[in-house]
Amino acid sequence: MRTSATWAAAIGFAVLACVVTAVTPVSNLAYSTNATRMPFDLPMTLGETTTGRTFTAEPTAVRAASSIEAEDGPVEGTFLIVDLVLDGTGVEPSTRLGGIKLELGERTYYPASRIRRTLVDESLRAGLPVAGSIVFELPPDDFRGRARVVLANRLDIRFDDRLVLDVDLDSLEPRPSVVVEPAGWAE
Amino acid sequence: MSAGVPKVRQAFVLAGVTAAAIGVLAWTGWSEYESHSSDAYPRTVERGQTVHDLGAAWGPVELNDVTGLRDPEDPLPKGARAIEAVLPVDPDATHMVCRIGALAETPSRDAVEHRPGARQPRAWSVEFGAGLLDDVERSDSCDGESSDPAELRGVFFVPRDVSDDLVVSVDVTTDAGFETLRFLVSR
Repeated sequence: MRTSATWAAAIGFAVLACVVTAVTPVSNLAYSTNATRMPFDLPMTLGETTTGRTFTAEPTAVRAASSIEAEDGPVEGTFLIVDLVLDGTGVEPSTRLGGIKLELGERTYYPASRIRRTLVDESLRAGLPVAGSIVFELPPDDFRGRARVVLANRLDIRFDDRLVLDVDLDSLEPRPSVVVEPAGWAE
Repeated sequence: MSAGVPKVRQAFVLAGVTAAAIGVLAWTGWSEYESHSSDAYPRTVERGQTVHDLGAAWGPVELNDVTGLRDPEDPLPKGARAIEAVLPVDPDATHMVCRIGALAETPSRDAVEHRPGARQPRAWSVEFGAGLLDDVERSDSCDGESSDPAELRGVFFVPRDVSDDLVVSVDVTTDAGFETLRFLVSR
């Protein structure tokens, strides 16, 4: 190949690479900082165990209530309650679900601190599953539409997975009062 | 290359440069390995052995089943065990900080060879407030303020199907930096 043709081919490939880079969405570039923030979403299904990298989760029930019978007495509000069985995989010696949230449209809700002894406070140990609930409190007029319950071991997830449960809030019939059992061993 | 250089001569030059590059890289890698192989970390200590490293004499590690010392009002799941790792440590001087990091299963041959279905080794962290009803003062760490001999004690909750071959890892911080010692131990 002639020298001029070689140079032309090299410049052509460089230009082509620039074009590909320019038209590729930033979040899809392997070396972009956005890509490092992309978690892997694993969908959960009621009654089935989903395995992530550091923990497994089995949603056993999704409930809505306007009052919760807690240890300290009834707590009034508009609540979404997700009952779960969680277990650690042992990839990390100890895992806590530090990244639990409810995504509802553009809004994000975090577990209600008024309800104590939920799964939010539990350490996950491999082979020793725990059962309990996660409780979100929402404004009454925002309790509608499709929401996503997101479970992760930390809020800032990078190159790691999140377990996600889709919830149709419109299909839930709020009960006047429900009991939320304290989290504890599942067996 | 200029057209005036014979192709045979080009080939000899290329072969010479390639051989020299391979030789330099191989020598560099080997000398690097040789200089660090004796103090490579994490350092693994065989079962029942003691080691003098990182400013202290360590071992041998013992595992005790302390399930029976647990508060009966706060039982573990059926079949689960509370295991205590006891690690004697005799520091040469102060300024050596250490902590039991984790108890982990050693990987099976199937896991090492990535065979389908092979169970990956699991790890557990030390329990804070293990709920033991004896009078033993337990500490899973040394603070570097004393050079007196001591025993590190860490309690782990493990499931019934835990492997018999385990490893206790200890994180050690000295003036030279942070390293990990791994003590192989059998139940």
